[in-house]
Amino acid sequence: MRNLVDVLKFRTIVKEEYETDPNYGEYPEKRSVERLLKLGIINLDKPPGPSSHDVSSTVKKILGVEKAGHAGTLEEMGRSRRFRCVTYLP
Amino acid sequence: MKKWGDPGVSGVLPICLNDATKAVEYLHMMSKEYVGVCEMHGEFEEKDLRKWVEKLTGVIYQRPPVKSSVKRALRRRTILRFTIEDIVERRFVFRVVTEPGTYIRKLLHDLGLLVGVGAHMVELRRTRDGFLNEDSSSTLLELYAAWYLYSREGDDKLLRRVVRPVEEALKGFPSIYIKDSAVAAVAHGAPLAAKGVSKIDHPLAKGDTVCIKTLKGECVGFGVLTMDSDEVIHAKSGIVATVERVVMDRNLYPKTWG
Repeated sequence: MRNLVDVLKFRTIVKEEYETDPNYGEYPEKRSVERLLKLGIINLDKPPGPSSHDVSSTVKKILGVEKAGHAGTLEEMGRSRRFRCVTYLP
Repeated sequence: MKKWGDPGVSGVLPICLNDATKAVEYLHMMSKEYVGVCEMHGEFEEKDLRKWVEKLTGVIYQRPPVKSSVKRALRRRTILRFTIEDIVERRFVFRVVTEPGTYIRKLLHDLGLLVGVGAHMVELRRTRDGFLNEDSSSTLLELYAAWYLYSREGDDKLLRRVVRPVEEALKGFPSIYIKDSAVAAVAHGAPLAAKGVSKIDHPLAKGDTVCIKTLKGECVGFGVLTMDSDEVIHAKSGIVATVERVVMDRNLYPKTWG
């Protein structure tokens, strides 16, 4: 199953030891909130009801981010976009 | 209010923000796990059900349902695991691990036909998508509360727990770790040279997709290996991977050329 990367097992081999410079870049765990909103992911627990698409547009509205895209649609059936309702939070 | 989505479907849905959306297509390369409830339309033998569930494990052929948003061409999909957890009268709880693009509703429908009485899926919950599972997932309400606390009260604790670095979803993705000096070039889309590599996951083959990471663990982008991982280890010069997608900001690391 080469197309499923998460079922494969690897070990990391060192080609050349190298010390990374703390002055550049950032450790992902230490990323600031502003940076997280630019390069972050939300492991969202999608509620039953609204479509995956509606849920990501709700996320976009809450955080006021420019782009939000879901990875892997959670079963979306019909595609009658025109009359789709979007769920808003209070 | 009329519901257009599928009402019975919930669970893990990774949502990428801004630049992280560039990694979406690579997050599709991972298996998904579901738990669900299915209802049979008639009396059936438990033995029969278990037999067919076992037979539906492995490679199956599937035609996307009529009500779907993709071309209805026959697909081959691998069911990595398919088990019955509990049976109560005509209903049963199943757990399934599949390749992306598998229609679970259809799988259960087909199972019903094979058993001979017909069946339909009542409820479905995705419990894992790649490296993200439901234990660490947050609800929309939690996100809303987190955003409120952050924007009104300046408290980022909850928000940092809900919004995670994109690298968290790429933890086990086959990776190649590069030196600081190579980061800017790769972030500008240049192919990765042997000299820029510090570490690599093994075993990987030529043509495999890899996540290119810095030694701090940041995702620079994604590329395709032009040689096997053991060749990469010994390569003195030349290109070891081409860059397909850049995720990282170009200006985080200093340019080492020109």
